Amino acid sequence: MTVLRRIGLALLAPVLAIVVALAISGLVIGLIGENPLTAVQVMFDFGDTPAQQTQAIVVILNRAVPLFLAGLAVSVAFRMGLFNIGVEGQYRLATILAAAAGAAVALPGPLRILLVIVVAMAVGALWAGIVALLKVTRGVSEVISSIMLNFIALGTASFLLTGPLRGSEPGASIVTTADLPESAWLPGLNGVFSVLGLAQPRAELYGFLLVAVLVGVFVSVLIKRTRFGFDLRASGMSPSAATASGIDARGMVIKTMLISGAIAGLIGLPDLLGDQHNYGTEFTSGLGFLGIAVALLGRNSPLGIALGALLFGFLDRAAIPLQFADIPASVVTIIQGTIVLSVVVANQIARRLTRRQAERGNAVAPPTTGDGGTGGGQGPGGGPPPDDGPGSGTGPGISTATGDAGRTDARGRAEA
Amino acid sequence: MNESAPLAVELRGITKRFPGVVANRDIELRVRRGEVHAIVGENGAGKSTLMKTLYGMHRPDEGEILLDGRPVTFRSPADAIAAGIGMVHQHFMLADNFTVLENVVLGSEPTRGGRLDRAGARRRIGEISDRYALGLDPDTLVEDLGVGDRQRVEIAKVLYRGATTLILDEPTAVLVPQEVDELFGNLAELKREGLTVIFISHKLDEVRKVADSITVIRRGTTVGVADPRTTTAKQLAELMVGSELPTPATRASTVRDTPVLGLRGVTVATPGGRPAVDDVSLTVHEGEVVGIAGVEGNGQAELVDAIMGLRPLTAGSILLGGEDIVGWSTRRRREEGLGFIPEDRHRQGMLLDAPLWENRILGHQTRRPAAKGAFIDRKGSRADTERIMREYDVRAPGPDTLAVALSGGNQQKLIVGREMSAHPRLLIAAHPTRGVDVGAQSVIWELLKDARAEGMGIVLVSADLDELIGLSDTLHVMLRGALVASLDPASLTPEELGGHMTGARDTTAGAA
Amino acid sequence: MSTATATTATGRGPLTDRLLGGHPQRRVLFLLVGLLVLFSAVRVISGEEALTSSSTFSAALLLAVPLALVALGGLFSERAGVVNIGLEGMMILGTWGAGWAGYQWGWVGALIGGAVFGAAGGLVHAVATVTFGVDHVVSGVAINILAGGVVRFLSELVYTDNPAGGGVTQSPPLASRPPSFSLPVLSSGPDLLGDLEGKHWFLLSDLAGLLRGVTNGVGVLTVLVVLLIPAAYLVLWRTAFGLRLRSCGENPAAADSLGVPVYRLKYTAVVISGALAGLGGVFLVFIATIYREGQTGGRGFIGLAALIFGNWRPGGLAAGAALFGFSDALQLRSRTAVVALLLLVAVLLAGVAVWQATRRKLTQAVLAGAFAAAALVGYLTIDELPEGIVSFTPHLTTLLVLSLASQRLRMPKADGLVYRRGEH
Repeated sequence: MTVLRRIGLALLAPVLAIVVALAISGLVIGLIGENPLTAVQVMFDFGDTPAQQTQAIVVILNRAVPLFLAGLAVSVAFRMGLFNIGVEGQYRLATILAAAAGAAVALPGPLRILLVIVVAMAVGALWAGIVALLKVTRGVSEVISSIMLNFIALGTASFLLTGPLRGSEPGASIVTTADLPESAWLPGLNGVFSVLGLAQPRAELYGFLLVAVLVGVFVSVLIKRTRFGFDLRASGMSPSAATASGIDARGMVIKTMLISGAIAGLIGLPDLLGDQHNYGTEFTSGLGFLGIAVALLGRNSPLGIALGALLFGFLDRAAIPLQFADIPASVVTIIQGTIVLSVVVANQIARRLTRRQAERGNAVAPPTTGDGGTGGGQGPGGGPPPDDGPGSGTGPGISTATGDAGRTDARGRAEA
Repeated sequence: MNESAPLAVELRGITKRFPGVVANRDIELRVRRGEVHAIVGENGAGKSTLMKTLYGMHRPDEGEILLDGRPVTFRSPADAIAAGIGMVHQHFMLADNFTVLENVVLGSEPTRGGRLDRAGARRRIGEISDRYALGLDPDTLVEDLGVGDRQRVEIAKVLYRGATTLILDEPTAVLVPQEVDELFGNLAELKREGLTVIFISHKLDEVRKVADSITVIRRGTTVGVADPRTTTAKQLAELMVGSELPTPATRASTVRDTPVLGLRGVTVATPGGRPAVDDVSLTVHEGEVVGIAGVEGNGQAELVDAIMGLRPLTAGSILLGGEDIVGWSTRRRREEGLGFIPEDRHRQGMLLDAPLWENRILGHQTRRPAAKGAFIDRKGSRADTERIMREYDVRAPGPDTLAVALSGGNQQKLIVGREMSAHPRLLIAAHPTRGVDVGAQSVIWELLKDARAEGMGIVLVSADLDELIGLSDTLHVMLRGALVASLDPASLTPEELGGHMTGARDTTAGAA
Repeated sequence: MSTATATTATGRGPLTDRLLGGHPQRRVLFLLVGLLVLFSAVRVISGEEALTSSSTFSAALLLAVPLALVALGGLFSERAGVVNIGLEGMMILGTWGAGWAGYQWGWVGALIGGAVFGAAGGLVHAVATVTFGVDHVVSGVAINILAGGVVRFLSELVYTDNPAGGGVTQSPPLASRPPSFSLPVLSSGPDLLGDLEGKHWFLLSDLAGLLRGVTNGVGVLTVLVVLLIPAAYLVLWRTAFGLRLRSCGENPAAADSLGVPVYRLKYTAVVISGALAGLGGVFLVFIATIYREGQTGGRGFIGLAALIFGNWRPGGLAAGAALFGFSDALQLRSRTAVVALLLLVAVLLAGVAVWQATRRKLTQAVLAGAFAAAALVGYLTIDELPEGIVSFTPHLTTLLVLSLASQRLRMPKADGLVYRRGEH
């Protein structure tokens, strides 16, 4: 079972899903009388001048950075079998509080930026922590509680924005918090383009890209290489095996949600520190749900999420040029939505296929869990998700009082 | 009874194969109408497969089923139900949040003009309940019912659908003695009304009390038919268990004096019923293998869970090397020298979708070579996995192979190797060679013997008599949560062991 | 009926037993009467007429209807074992369908269009969860994302350069409005109830306000929706179809073993739930007379909250929808009146504190008392609750109900279970 083959199979589901989604979208475009190929052409047309081209790249990257962080936050929880839908509320609340704190506290530039980051992570972690606490102590489903907390966060943010944390003049059409001083603006990375000999784009490439990469590396190391990460993944793969191996399930839930929330808190910072410098009514919204989409697309691996974020960023950038070509920009949202749906369906199909193949004796890489196909029990009021049950063996599928035993032996002793 | 009347149920030469195993081979069964007929056999004998065939859940590969003398084929349970066969499953299929009435009529609801005819249903259920003395109140929530009552709801379900032949699968497995008596009363009522009852069990004492005729199944085939009135318990046990027991290899005793595990009055309760583990006390010394025999479902799993810290104790204490570990977490118990080969390796022993070197880490994340401080030592773990694969004969392409791709035997060898490598003071081996091929089995047995020789204490829970007798220094028998006997494997007779395991008390031919 | 000296087996005193024992219907009646008295008292004390005015109740009914429809949709789906987070998306599709069909064919068209569009969303969810076994929540979230894009796309397709009007984010106005009526003597014409209400008498005027609110200018369809709630109860609890549907949500393996077509029923239930959510969207369009993007405003989730609040029962979800609709209406009519609600909460919590104290549950009594005091202080000091805070009242309420009553709430046992035949 070569590494290449394994990678190929792991990519199969998302690639298939994207192809299906593009096909459907092509159909949709065709229905409105436009040429789907024109749409493709427009999407890939980055402009005529080198400056326009680098501009397009910057737009894509800038869009991808917050999406990447959102996907990371969701994926950490997914890996443990938890569903952190509250990312949306977590980052909005974190951003407004961090923006206000950064504007209010007088510190030298770099320290101010650090304060903003710390406050954002703390608020995000706290907000997610409420979900974890309710789940562990009262058995409240994290799905419903995080959806409710999303609304509470948005309402609170709105209240704070128009009330105590208001920074803009009364009567202004757009309400914002107080501006962060220039010393607290994260410098951009346009220097890279000069170094590479490329033209300078109009917009600044977010400096937060570096931070995001660091976070990605951190998450990757944490999940793959630390004991804690092992415990986390084991809990997501098989809660029963994890408990039998000594892992404390409830502690894991809380720690995982705290980490997920902390990363979620960072989602708004690229835009805050690199572009807007305050939080207002027009601040980027919806990143939480797109983060879920990106995490599913990237199958919970930081590399996959990065690619997924780039893809979504690429699609988002294409919205305006598409409009010039008389193709409604909402096609982009449809493509994104269809990708999500196709990905989760494809993941499920792939999972079943590979499980079945493995049981027949071929060692085939099944997809990682938390890819949208987790076993049920995620409904309201449900406890931690149950594991997939005993690997459905090829023997008589009869369960004794203590559970299936798996395989039968050649001597002919069946499990009855 | 008129001998020339057609048999209610007859099975001729039923054979059923699954990939790699023959579950039923040439089974013969003859049940007369109006009798209570018991099918006995150990776990793994093939009883449940047979019943699934009779109930239409799968088709036999060979053989015939005859009902009242006529051959029938069942394509699904619906066909069996239509033919008057009703199955009362061992694991009840009831919706807790529904009432008795709703559970009974589901799928066959009486309707009146589109509306559910609750009054009519209530009436019919009342009739059935009275006629067969089931004592059911149609409006009680199933959730509020005890186990015995739930079973009676299952019986009512099949009676409501017009069953004339009832199959009960291990009905007394979850009942306390009083409930068992009530059930037998119900069976007598059913018999009085002319129904036929087929009763699957491994509990010989009960079977002898209530059955008119007994078919014994062992290793997938019929080994005999017995009349409880003329057969002794001893003869029955011998039929069930087989007349030859393996002789234990004579070895010098390796049992040392220091106790490594002590259980004192360990009790684990289950909600609403008899305790799963009832006041168990035993000691394991260094270098000793303590075997726990018993038919499955008698509390062994709960006992194992309790020792590992996966289940709380209601009473009693567990001493590891003299210290009471009841308050310790599972992780701490493992770190302090408790090893665990779980009975269900897929559920508790490994991560199927992970490679072998990650499975090496499972359960031992806090120590070398799996971990170095807060980090996973991938290289160390891979190297050690390779070592385990060599030393414990795990056949797989390499440490990166996914666990799901290995055969059961190799998976188990890996688990054994993993647990042994941590040099535990006490190893709990629950059914260590279940679902494992012969070759792997002997390897694992050798490993356990070697470990014992080096001073490890082992608790061996098993349903395999070869294993128990071949490995144990001391043998306890567990029945209904309690230890009912402590035996010497060297001087054990099959009847004695079978008798204790199945609860058959006397050795004389007794009246029912 | 217990005597004056003996306490019942549950440890309740005779007075409590009289109030809380007996038929559930009597309990509900007592509860409603008690609430009315309480509201009356609070109105008189605070002077906030809006609290029990007919216009408030009228708006409450109007706003509760979409919530109730969504909650009913959730009821069908979850009772069959499929968690439906995508109700919001289906409601969005419903609003678009209503707008599009409504401007062309009037209110009847709007009804059909909204239901069909919502059902289509339900079908997608059913295919993903039942046939492909995708996790229910994931599928629901995906549908929400997709729905937003689809309606925007369709608007751009159909409404740009459309002579009838409309634009990228809204449809042309409805061709016709659904009929409404008022009770002849009581609510219109001589308007006796209106007179009574104007007298501001304790209890009587409040009752008049309530009655007038629900009978003046009430849409015929609104009445039909209200009737839908007992109808849902009858279907789910009194027919064979309903029993089988519910069995899929309680123990699908048992249902399957008895020959119930589990997959087919799940499909049916989810499509129905989509249609109902779509109808909820239709009502939003009726209120606004056009389709407008973002109209749902999270009501799909509030409806889900009402379902949970109502313990997955039709009566309960109606109460939840009414409660959320009322608070929504109140804050639209008069923001100061919302503050009066704090006084109400204070009184209720004080009552709870006393009750817990008599049952010797001291920590809970102290906790309730502390919150009661906080609410009272809030009432006395705050003039007007800011909009942001008020906006999440339903969600906060749901969260509290979930946290406090999680053990009492009984969701269908197999809700959220990905059911594959043969694996259970």
